[in-house]
Amino acid sequence: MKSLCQLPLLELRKKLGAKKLSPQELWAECQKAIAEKDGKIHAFLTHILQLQLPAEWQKTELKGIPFAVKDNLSTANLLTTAGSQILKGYRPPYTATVVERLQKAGGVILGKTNCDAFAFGASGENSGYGPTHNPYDLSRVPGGSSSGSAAAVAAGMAVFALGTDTGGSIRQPAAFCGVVGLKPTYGRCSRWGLIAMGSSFDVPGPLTRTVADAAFLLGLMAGYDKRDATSSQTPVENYLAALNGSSVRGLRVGLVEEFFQHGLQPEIKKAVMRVADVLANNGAKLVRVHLPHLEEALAVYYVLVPAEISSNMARYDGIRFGWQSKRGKTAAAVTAFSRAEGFEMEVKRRILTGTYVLSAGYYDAYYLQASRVRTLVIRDFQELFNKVDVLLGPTTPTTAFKLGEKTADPVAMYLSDIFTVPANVAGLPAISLPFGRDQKNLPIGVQLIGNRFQEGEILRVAHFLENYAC
Amino acid sequence: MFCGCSAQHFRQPANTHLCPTCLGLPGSLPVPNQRAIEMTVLMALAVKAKINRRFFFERKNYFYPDLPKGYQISQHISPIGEGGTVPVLLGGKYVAVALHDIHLEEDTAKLEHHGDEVWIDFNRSGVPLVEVVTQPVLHSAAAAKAYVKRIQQLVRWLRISDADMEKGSMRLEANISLATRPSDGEEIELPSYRVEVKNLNSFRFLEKAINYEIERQKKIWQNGKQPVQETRGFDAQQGVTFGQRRKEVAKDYRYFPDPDIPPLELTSSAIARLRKQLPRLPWEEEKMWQERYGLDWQLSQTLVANDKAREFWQMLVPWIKNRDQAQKIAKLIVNKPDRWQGKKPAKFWQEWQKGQNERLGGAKLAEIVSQVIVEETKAVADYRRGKISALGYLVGQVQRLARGKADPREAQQLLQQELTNNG
Ligand SMILES: [Zn+2]
Repeated sequence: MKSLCQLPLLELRKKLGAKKLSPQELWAECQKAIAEKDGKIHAFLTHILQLQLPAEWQKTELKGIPFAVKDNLSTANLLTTAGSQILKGYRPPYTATVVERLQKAGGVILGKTNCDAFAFGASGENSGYGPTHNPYDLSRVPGGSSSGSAAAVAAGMAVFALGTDTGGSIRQPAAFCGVVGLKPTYGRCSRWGLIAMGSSFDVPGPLTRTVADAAFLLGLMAGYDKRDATSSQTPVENYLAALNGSSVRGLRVGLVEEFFQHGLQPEIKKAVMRVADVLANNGAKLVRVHLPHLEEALAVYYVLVPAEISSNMARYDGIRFGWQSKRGKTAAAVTAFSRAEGFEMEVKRRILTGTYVLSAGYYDAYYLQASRVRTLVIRDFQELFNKVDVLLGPTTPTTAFKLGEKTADPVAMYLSDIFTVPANVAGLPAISLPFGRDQKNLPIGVQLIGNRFQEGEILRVAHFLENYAC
Repeated sequence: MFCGCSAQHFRQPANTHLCPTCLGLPGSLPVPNQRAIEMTVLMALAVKAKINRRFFFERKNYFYPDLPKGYQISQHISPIGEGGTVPVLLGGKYVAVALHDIHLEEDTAKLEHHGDEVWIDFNRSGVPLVEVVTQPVLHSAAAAKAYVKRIQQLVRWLRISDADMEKGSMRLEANISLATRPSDGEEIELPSYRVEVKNLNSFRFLEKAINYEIERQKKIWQNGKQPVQETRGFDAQQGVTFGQRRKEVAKDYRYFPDPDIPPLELTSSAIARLRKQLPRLPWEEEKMWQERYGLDWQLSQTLVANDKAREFWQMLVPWIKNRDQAQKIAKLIVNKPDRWQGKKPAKFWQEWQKGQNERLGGAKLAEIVSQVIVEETKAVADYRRGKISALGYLVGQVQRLARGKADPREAQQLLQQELTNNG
């Protein structure tokens, strides 16, 4: 029998509403799963034991359902380390908007999940607190940077989890762990309280068991927030209602040619083609399209994101919060030692790269040039969306790789983001949907990318495909 | 500037107006303050700067303990206002001081030194700061002082800030370099260095610091060397500037557009609305009184610069019938505040007019004149011996007995008449 917290959120919500299940029972199930499994998986950095149910939880949308929160989302009075040693012991005085909205909707935080430090990474191995293991194969990575969130949902330790996506950090681990990962349009969900990595790329979003769960949660999380000047005033749709009676007849589906090169694992290619067949057989129109600046998009990403990081990391001074070095007698020395000890290798690498590309004499060649290419990539996509409604492709070039396999080769690691990064560069919504397994029985993810604020469209198509996912 | 905390930081308990944003906590975000932007536009419109309709904020990256995020949100490539001029009265005529730009940024926290320790008060962190930068066009300490006073007046006039130096709501930084005086008709060639004197918190200190720097730099030049580019502090007690110990490496602020704040756009209607809010400016009002009543520039400047005097004057203006009356009233308001302060304008006007009429009483004045001639024998003798200056003294004596109500011209005429007739 399936453990309770392996059921979809909407199903549990129904049971709770009908009093066939109590939030206490559900909480206890999650606790049991964590106690049994997390010793080996290491999805949680902070784990809450006592259930504190919101008042009148029966009247809320989430009815006391427990959820896990990626550790780079601020939670008041609850440890928030962003997976980095430099924030060891930091308890923010405030809560991120997306978390707060779910709490107001009756959700209960179960714990904070492991991630690559400051969300820099695609495997979870850059965490300052040790890596998370893939529940499907403990010798493999769960993907990253929302490694703990994906693993917690996949292992049935949490009903759903929040992640953040800067270059694929929700979709890639979702694909590796066989769960649904939704990256909303940039500006759709508030970044207030999200510990910044690449401020013009970061988006919070849900990792769930089903597409309908993701649609339901997006409806609760999305919407304008006056505390985030980049959050959008575009009205929030009823994403869940839009799933009903979804048909793909007449839908124009773009297959990006460039997505099928770049050393794509054959089984993943096969899965994507199978999706294409399902869509075509149900009346969708397949269109072969090009994304001429795909490789440049990755280059743009690895120039602009470190630039923003180098500036975003300047506030970690080892004095006001987080890790403070015992070495150093002056304030400046304490800062220097705290950073040397507290920042992980990948964080240091990106600070150095970013500082370099913003420096006088290099700014024009790197930062400015990359900003210009970014507008080209955005234009590419705009043109594509004149011809198609959604883009279909793989989420990752391979299924989950072994722990340690790519840590020595940052470029190989960076390439595992190649299919997910373009949506971040252009700020588009995208979803990763589990679709079959490879020969090693590892989950495969397929990706749908939509036009700006067309979350409803990709959710609808993904929901349709779910029935064929086996 | 980018959060909702109070901008009051003077004499407030330390670290009481705080939020995640002005503390630079991880995950906090800046949201630009609409009102601060509007006030900066107002300032830019007042000095006829070019308004950048589309502007953005940038991050100025540098590390200092008073800067919680490790960068300051400022404007570099697209300041709200570019160019513009500020009319300043110098040596009896208006000089237009050319501006480089007017931009908006956030203030830093305040450092307090307690022995070996440095304490940080974050109340000031994130308070809106408008920086007004001139072109290198000021050629003396006096000119610089006149200019900054004008800026203070304008900022108060537009109700942008109390611009109180004591509270730190106006601060001055002077960039000083010395060049050889060009021959007539040629432009000054700017030297390749400049010395920045920071944290000047009074007009007097600004003047002193500039004069000190001019002398210091002159000596260096006279020794055949060029002063080095540096930032210096000012020691108010000694009246000297001093090199700051901080190592001056070439600064690279790594400016880039702040990704947390989308580019902003001012619509033409928003600008038009602000333009309508623009009151008559101080220099416009000065010129108005000069032209309408022939007030001299200094008198009109003083009259306009003093809020209370100006308000009182403005209430009397409807009753003033001619230039003569206007000049008398203006002088009285500027020079004898005790004669009008605390009075209702109508009452004051009535009394003043009565006083004016009393002065015309020729018989009474003649009586006083005779009395003075009788009493002031020495001055009378001096005058008769040809010492013309004695006359002024005698007029003063008449005025004293008339309790200031005598018309000085009439008194003088009468005196002269009497002294010549009864010689
Ligand atoms: Zn604040």
